[in-house]
Amino acid sequence: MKRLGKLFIALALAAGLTTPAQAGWRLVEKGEERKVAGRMYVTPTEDWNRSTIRPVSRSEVWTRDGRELNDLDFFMGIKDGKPLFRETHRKRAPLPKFDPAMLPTDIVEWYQDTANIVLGGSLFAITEVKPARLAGYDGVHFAFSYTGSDNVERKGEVRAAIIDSRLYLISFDAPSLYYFDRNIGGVRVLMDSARLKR
Amino acid sequence: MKALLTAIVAALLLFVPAGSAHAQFGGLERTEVKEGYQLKPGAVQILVFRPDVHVGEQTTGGMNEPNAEWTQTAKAHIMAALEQEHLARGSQLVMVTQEDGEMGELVADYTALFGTVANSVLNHKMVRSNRLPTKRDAFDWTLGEDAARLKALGGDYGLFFYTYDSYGSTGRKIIQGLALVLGGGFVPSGVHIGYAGLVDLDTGDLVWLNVDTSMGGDIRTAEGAQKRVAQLMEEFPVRAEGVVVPEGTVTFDPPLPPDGPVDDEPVVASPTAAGDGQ
Repeated sequence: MKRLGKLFIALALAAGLTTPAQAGWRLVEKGEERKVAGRMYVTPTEDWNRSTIRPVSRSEVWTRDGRELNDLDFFMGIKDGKPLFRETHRKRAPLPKFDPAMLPTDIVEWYQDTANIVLGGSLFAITEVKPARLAGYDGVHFAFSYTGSDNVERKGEVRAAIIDSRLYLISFDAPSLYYFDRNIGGVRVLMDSARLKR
Repeated sequence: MKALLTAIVAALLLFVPAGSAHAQFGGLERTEVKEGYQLKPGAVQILVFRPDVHVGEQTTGGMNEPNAEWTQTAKAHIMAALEQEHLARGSQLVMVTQEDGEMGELVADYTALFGTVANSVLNHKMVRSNRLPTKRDAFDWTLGEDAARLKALGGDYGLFFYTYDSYGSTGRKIIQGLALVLGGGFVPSGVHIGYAGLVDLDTGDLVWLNVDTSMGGDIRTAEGAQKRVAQLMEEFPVRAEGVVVPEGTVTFDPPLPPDGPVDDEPVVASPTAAGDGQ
């Protein structure tokens, strides 16, 4: 039924039954270093599409084929006490808040707790955690998997670091069938290319 | 979740400005076909993945009440009409039955992925204001080349389709009539939407997708289902012309007679047949 509902909404959108705040999309060309949601710069190895709508301030959403098929999110500079996403049910389902004192493993747990609430019952599992660097700062790289409400199994990876008491995080997820493997190589190169300009 | 989604849809359908009724409810009818795509020549076998058919009644308030009996009847009519339609086109349908084990999981995974890919095409190709710049001139969505594993089920193509019908109840129709008479705006009665898509299992590419948000044909009847299937199959890729050459055969062009060619068709012969003829 969830799939039916999603399809229904997509069809309603397609039919012009509603005019919600639809995202506009801008081309992000491969090979060009680009400023992302603040002061971090990355260089993509493939063309992407950037949404003109930001999920939260200092964030950006990129996709190649549609967010359900490849979703690359940038959260650049989450402040102390702020959640990863905007809280839609603050009382009923509050999201965990970022704390600059977190260790890299705490970031992984914080992300997992957030995902469990946002995905609402989907089986979200961390599959790998390892130390990594983001924009020259010590951080963490972790992998995860879950099955969405569309019954599609997805895999994802996150690179994150706390820089000047703020959290910088790049996350990518895509269906395990075909899409994850097709994109993850380029995404890892993009994560490696991240740098801060002061 | 179900109630929430239903409510969203009902709200979408109800709170539409009266002045734009035609524009809002003219419905979307759009087909995307991979440029220049044709089915391969010769016998075509198409796998049909569990068709999603839902039939119900739209209550006075605009909510949908599923009707199991109508759904079952409609499904049978649609399958019969689909088979007839494809026989007429010279292709053979192979119904994918409930599989167990690894193949069962594969079918479920690809069916789910198809739905997600189709949603992306709807959102980012068919809704022009939401188009992705990288897709502006391309229709290149795919399930990936590993979809070829599904060919083991006995087909070269995968056909997926979905229909949703919510027939306006008497109460709903009365509200619609009253709203028109009393100037209360346009209140839609009934929802009839559907899509169908074809995947080339050699490549995994989605080669055709047809979406219609205001479908015709009462699929609770055989005639209505035929009309619906004909709509769903609009602009279905045609078969390429050509001669199928079975494996192990040799083709050769016969020498032209002095007056020029007498037949455009190449001669096809198996090595044995060629030997017999000499």
